Amino acid sequence: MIPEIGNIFLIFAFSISVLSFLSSTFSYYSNVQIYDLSKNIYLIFFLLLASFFVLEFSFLTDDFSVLYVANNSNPNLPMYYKFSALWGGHEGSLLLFVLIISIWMMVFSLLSSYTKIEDKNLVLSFSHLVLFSLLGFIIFSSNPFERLIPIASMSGTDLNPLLQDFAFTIHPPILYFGYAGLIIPFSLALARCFNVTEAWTTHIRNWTVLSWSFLTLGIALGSWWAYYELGWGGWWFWDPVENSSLVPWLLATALFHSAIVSNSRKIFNNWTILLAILSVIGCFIGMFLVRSGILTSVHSFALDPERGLILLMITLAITLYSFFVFFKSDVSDNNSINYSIVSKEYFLLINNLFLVILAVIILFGTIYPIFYEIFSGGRTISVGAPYFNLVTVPIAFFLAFFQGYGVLTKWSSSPNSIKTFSTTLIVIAFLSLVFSYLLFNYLSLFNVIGILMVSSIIAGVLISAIRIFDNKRFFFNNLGMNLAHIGIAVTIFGIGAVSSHSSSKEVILEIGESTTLSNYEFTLIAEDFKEESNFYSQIAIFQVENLTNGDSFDLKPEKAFYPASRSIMTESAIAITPKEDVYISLSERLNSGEWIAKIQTKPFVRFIWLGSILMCLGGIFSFSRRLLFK
Amino acid sequence: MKQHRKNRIYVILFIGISILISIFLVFSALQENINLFYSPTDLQNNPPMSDKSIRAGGLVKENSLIRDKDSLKIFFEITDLKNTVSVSYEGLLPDLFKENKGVVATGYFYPSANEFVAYEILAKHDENYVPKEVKKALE
Repeated sequence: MIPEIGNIFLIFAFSISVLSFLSSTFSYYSNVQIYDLSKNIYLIFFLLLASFFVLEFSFLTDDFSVLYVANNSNPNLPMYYKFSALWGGHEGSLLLFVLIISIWMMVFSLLSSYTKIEDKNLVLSFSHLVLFSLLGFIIFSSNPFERLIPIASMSGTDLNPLLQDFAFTIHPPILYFGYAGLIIPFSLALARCFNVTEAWTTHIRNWTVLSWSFLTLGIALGSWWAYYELGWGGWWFWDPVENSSLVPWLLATALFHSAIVSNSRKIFNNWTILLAILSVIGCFIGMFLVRSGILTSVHSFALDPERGLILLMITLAITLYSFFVFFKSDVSDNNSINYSIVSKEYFLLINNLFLVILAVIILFGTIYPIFYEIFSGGRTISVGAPYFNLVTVPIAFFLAFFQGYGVLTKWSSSPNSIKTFSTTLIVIAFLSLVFSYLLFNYLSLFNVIGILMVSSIIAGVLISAIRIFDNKRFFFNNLGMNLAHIGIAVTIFGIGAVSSHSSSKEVILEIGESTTLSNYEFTLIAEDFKEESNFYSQIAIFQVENLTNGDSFDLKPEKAFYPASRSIMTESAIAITPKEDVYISLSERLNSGEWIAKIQTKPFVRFIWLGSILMCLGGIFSFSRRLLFK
Repeated sequence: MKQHRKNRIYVILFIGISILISIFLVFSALQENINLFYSPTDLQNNPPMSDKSIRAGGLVKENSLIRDKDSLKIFFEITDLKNTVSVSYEGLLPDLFKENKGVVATGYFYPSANEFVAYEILAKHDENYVPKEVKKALE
């Protein structure tokens, strides 16, 4: 009975959302005054929250008459994972996603004020459009409350063991906060096409920055999770699922940079609107790719072509609708502004151009196999990681290189001095030399590219920080931006170091045997065994000695077996030292008693995620400063 | 020509050139980095050039797995129940690699020896998941 109540809540939320959309649209075209519809979103939020908890109740009480619970949970699962198992599959994760959309709409409604109530109704109505499309999809084709009668098993299947992990429990919600937040700038952009002009660029910039912060953190968490949980020490695989989160991230990054220009200079207006639309379409394409099973990916959901088709229809409908609105609208730029080649406008244009090109080529590489299969009569291909590395590195290089000087330029209304330009070049050259000297014994082309990128960004931040002596406000105003830019530099530094200076070795060891890698000696000293409520594992104990300073520590990688799903998991063991990670993962135990293991060192790999955290903090700071000190 | 018109031409030129370079980059990178999929039957009937990296997939044939004594070398056979191809690989096997289960390997095929030298064996997350291509190859 209880799951049905959850379903009824969903249907109510769906109906209210449809009605809100229809009445705002009706009121716009007929000029009939209506009430403040923004209060509806509170009701929708509580209905979705109730529905969420109803499903949680089924999970926590092991109600295996609910098909979704039976497929994703198990009585022996620890309580904590029973709770997070809700978003371990397609239906539940979608329910979480719509709940998060309603949270964004509610927060937007609370924090933004409009002089005309119709304007606010109109903005929210476009969010309702997305919300009810997804709610309809859940209710009619992906219902998490669907029953399984008669009950097939009393034990459930299991939550995929890979997902029984802390990072997994927080990675999807944070990522969804990122995606869902982009619906706000999307709605603002569409509303702008309907002549809602009040503070639209400020709103777009602020809300994009906030959702971008979540998106950054969500992607970084996913990468971190893949690094230690997939067991083999990679932090990015150019997998379709990862790419479909990176594309909206790049578009959102372009979007708030473009919104800065629209806000200050009243140009790039149409471009900002287009980007806001494209970011959300990017999210939907990603959702389609991940959930339809059209691409072979390491972590796509259980697959169903019918659902894929419906998602494709929703994506197409929203795309067509937004483009229709966009091309019918009549938004113009301030034509009196002509920006010169050396100006902030021009550098932000370069930034946007390269970010969008990056997004397009990543998306292209991701979906190319689909088109290939269609046009070659069924032959399937895969696009390898080298493609992505080859195309993204040069473009990312120019992006980072122009970023350093770009932040120092002024709007074209005031002259840009040659002094700033030459100072920047000198600082870049100096920093590059310092980095080259400090960090690398030898310099490959790849290292030089990395060093130039990092130096250029840091030069920009440094010089802009020095300007506080002229103007204290200037520093405070740009603190968020500078933090985020340092974050990018830190991440690039991590990527560069780990890509060119990692070492790795695959070994067969018996107890008592040792091997060396980099400046560490690894000795397999013993074996162990442990049993938990839902799995048991074999453990190999390694003693690792740092040959430079004689320090030693133990690492205990595991091979875990989950009986419920009959699956084997590789639990890597990682020692974090200031400079690098020492990483061991077990492959298998041979009948002779020897272990096959992979040992690796990963210099500065933590910088990749540390940088992402800085970017996220910068974004949140920037949003809250604007909110608190308008 | 007026200054602002000149600027506009620079901007358009810059955008145009960037896009052209990117397109060039994409297609040249694509040429070398796509891996076509072959089932054992495809390999028999229509073998690829041995300098081209491809993917081969099917089921790991029962009792075909041989492990070299003192190295990480592994030999096994992939079958689509019509034809088989022998595979050699040096390295770690993914957790879900089992006889009679689906597998996709990336590497080079040498038709004269009917041997596939793999440099990567794909891991799949899910016990019940059969790669789309493998499913098709078995039909």
